[in-house]
Amino acid sequence: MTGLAVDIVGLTKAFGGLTAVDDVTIQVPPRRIHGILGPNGAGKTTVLNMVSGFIQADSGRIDVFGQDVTRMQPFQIARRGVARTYQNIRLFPGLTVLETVVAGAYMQRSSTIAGAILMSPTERRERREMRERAAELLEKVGCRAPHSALAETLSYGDQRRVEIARALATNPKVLLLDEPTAGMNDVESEEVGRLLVELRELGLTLILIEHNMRLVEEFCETVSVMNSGALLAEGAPTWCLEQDEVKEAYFGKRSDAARIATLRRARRGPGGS
Amino acid sequence: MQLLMQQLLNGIALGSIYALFAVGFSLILAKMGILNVAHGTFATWGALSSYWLVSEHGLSFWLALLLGVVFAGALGVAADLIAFEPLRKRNAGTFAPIIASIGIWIVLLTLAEAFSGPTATSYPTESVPTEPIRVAGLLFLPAQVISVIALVVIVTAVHLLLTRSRFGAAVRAVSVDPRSATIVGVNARSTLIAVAFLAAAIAGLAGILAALSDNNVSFGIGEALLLKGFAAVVVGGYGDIRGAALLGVAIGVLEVMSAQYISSGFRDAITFGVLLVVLVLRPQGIFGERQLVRA
Amino acid sequence: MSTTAWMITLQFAGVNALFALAIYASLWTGVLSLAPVFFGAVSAFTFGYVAGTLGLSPFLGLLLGAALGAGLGALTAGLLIRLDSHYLAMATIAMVLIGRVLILNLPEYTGGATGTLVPGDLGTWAWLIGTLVVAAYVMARLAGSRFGLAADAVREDPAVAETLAISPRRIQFIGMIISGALGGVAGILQSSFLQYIGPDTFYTHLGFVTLAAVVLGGAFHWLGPIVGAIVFTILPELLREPMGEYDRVVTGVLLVLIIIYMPRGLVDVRRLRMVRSRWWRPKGGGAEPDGPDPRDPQPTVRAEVAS
Repeated sequence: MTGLAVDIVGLTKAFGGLTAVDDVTIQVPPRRIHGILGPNGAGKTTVLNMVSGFIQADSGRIDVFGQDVTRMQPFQIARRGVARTYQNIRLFPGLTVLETVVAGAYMQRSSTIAGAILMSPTERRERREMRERAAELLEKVGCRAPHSALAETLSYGDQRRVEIARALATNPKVLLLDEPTAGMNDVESEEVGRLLVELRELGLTLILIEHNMRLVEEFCETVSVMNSGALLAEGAPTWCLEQDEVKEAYFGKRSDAARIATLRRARRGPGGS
Repeated sequence: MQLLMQQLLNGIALGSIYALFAVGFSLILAKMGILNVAHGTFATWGALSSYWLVSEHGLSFWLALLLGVVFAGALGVAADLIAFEPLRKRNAGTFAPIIASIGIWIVLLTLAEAFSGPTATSYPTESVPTEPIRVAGLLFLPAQVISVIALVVIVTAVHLLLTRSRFGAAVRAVSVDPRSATIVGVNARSTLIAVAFLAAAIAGLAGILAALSDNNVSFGIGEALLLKGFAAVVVGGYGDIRGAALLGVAIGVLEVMSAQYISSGFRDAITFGVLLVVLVLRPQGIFGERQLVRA
Repeated sequence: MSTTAWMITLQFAGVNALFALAIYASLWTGVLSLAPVFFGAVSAFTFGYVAGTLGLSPFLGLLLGAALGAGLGALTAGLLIRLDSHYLAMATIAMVLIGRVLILNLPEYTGGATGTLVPGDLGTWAWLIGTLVVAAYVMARLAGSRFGLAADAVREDPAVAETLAISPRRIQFIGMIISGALGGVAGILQSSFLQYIGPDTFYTHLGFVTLAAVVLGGAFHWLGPIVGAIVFTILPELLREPMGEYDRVVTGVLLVLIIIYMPRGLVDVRRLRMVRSRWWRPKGGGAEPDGPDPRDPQPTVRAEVAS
C-alpha cells in the first residue's frame, strides 16, 4: 500500500507510430486537487482515458487506492470509485437534467426489474430519494436550470455542471475532470474552482486537465506538465510554470508580455489533447 | 475417389458463386461501413434483368449478362444516392443505414416477386451454354467453369485495384475518413459511388451465375446468396476480400460434401452451424486482423 | 373493407405491436435485433406441438411462450452480445432465415412445408388486449427505473455509461431477455389467431413490418412501437385496393424516408421536451435545437476504442 489515491507509473501508449503518452508517472495522494497541464496534443486526455479504462495502456501501471486497475473494464474502474467528465461534453440526448444525474446513480440503487414493474414500496422510496439526491447534487454544482429541461439544450456552462453532477452521482472517490471550465467566463470558472475545494473537503481526490492558468494557480495544489506525451515538470503550479522547458512548450520563444497575456486568457483550443 | 473429386469440383464451383457475392458484400461493409442487407436483391435483379433480356428480347446470353451486371450496379448506385448518402451526410450512426437497407430490400424484393411471378423459370436452353466438358472422367458444366473463372478474375482484379491503383488509395482514404480524404483531393462522393457500383455489379454477376448453375431464375436467388455471403464474410474475416472469397469457396465445398455424405436436408443447417460456431468462438473471423468484438 | 376484415386487421396490428415492443426492448439497450421473430417462431411451433399432443390451457400457453422466449433471448445474448453491432444485427437476421430452414427440415415437429395447426383459444380480443396492456405496463414501469435509465445511457453512449459503473453487456443481456419474452408471447398469440402456422409465418416479412413499425413509431418510448404497429398494419390494408401486390413497396419506401427524415419516429419524447424547454426558457438553450446531433457519440466512441 502506497497510500496514494491514484498511482500512475511508467504509463505508455502509442497510436500507430505516434507515442501519445511516453513513460508518464503521476502520483496523487488522497484529498488533493491535481492539475495536468500542457499544450494541445500533449497526451493529457489520453492519460485520463487510460485511467478511466477507455484505452488500454501499452505498458505501465495504474493503481487506484492501492488496487491495480490497468487491465480493467471501464465499468469495473467506475465501481472502484473513479468518475469523470469529458472535454467535449457527452450528455445523453433525450434525457432531462434530473434523469441524467439519476442515471449516474446506477450503482447507488438496489432496485430490481421486478420491483420496478410491481412498483414496490422500496422502489417508490428509492426513486424519491434518487430525485432528492440528484436535486442536491445539481444545487451543489450550481446548476440553476429547470430539472425537467432537456440536458442537451442547456447553456454550455450548465451542461458542464450537469456532467459534473452526473459524475458525482456515482459517489466517486476520484473525480477526473477534462477541462471543466472550457467555455465558461471568469465568474463561472471561479465557481467551479470553489466547487473543487468543496469536493476535496468532502474527501474526494480531483485530477483535472485545465488551460485556465489562473484557476490552476489558485486551486491546484500540485500539477504535472506534459508535452508531446512526456512529463516535463511536476510540483507546485507556480514553480512549474516558471520552468523554462514549460514556458517553451507552451509558447515557443515569444516575448514575456505576450506569454503572460496568453497565460491569463488561455482557453480551450480546438481539437483534442 | 472419382465421386469425391467430382463433388469437390461441384463444391468449388458452387462456392465460387458464394465467394463472388461475398466479395461485393464485404466491399460495402469494409469500405463504406454499411451492412447492406439489400445486397441479395441486387443479385436477384441481375439475374431477373438478364433473363428478361434473353427470353423476351432474344439477346445473346453474354450481352444480357453484361447488361444485367450493369443494371445491378446501377441499382447499387441508386440505393447509395437515395438512402445512404443522406444518412452519411447526417452522420446518422450505425443502425440507420441497416434500417434503410432493409427498406431497400423490401422494395426490391417485392418488385422482384411481382416481376418474376410465383413460379420459377430458367434461361431458355438454346441460349445458354449447356454442353458439359469431360476431362479425365470428371464432368464440368459450362456454368461451373464460368463461375470459377469469374471468381478468379474478379478477385484478382478487385484486389489489385484496391491495393495497387490510385482508385484503391482513394477508397482507403475515404473509408478511413471521408472528410479528410476530401481535403487531400479525393472526390469522396464519386469514390463511394464507384465502390457501390462495383459491389452491386459483382452481386449481379453472382446472381446471374447462380441462376445459370441452378437452371432456375427466381426472386429467391438473392436471399440464399445473402446468407451464404454473410457467412463467408464473417468466417473469412473483415477487411480482406481474399478471406471472404476463400471462405465462400469453402462453404460451397462444405455444402456439397455434407449433402453427399451426411444429409441433403441439413446442408444449410451445417453451414449455419459453422457460422454460429465462428461467431461465438472467433468473432474476428479466421483471417480477421481487426477486432469485431466491441471493446 | 368490411367490419370483419377491419377487426382481423386490428387484431394483427395488436400482435405486431407485441412483436414491435419486443424489438424495441433490445433496441432500447442499443441492440438492433430481429431475433424476436425467431423466438416467436420457436414458441409458436412448440406451442402447436405441445398443445396438439398433450393439450395445454391458454394461460399456460402464454407462460410457455414467455419462458421459452426469455430463455432463447438469454441464450442468444450469451452467445452473441459480444459482437460488433453490425454483425449482431446480421446474426439475428440470419436467425430468422435459419428458422425457416429448421422448420422445413423438422417435419415431425413442425409439419415441414405444409405447416401445422394450432388451437385458437388464445386468439380472442380479451387475451390480445390483456397481453398488450401487461406488456405496455411493464415497459412503461421500466422506463423511469434503474434499468430504464441505464438502458437509455447505454443506447445513447455506451462508453459514457460505462464510466457510470453501468455494464453495457449486462443491460443488453437483460434487454434481450425482455425482448425474448415479448417475442415468445407474440408468437403464441400470432399462431392462435392464424390457427395455422407454416415456414413463412415467422419470416422476413414479419420482421420487416415490425421493425418498420418501431422505426416509424419511434424507438425511444414504449408507445412508439404500438403506434407504429397500428399504422404499419392498417396502411398496407388500405393500400391493397389501389396498389395490389405492391403494397409492401410502400412499407419499404416509408422505412427509408422515415429513417432519413424522421429518425426518432412519431412518438418523439425528445422533441416534446425540446419544445417544453423552449417554453420554459424563452431565450432558448445554448445547444442546437433540432435535427442531426453534432455531438453524435458514435464516431468518437469508435475512434477512441478502435485506435
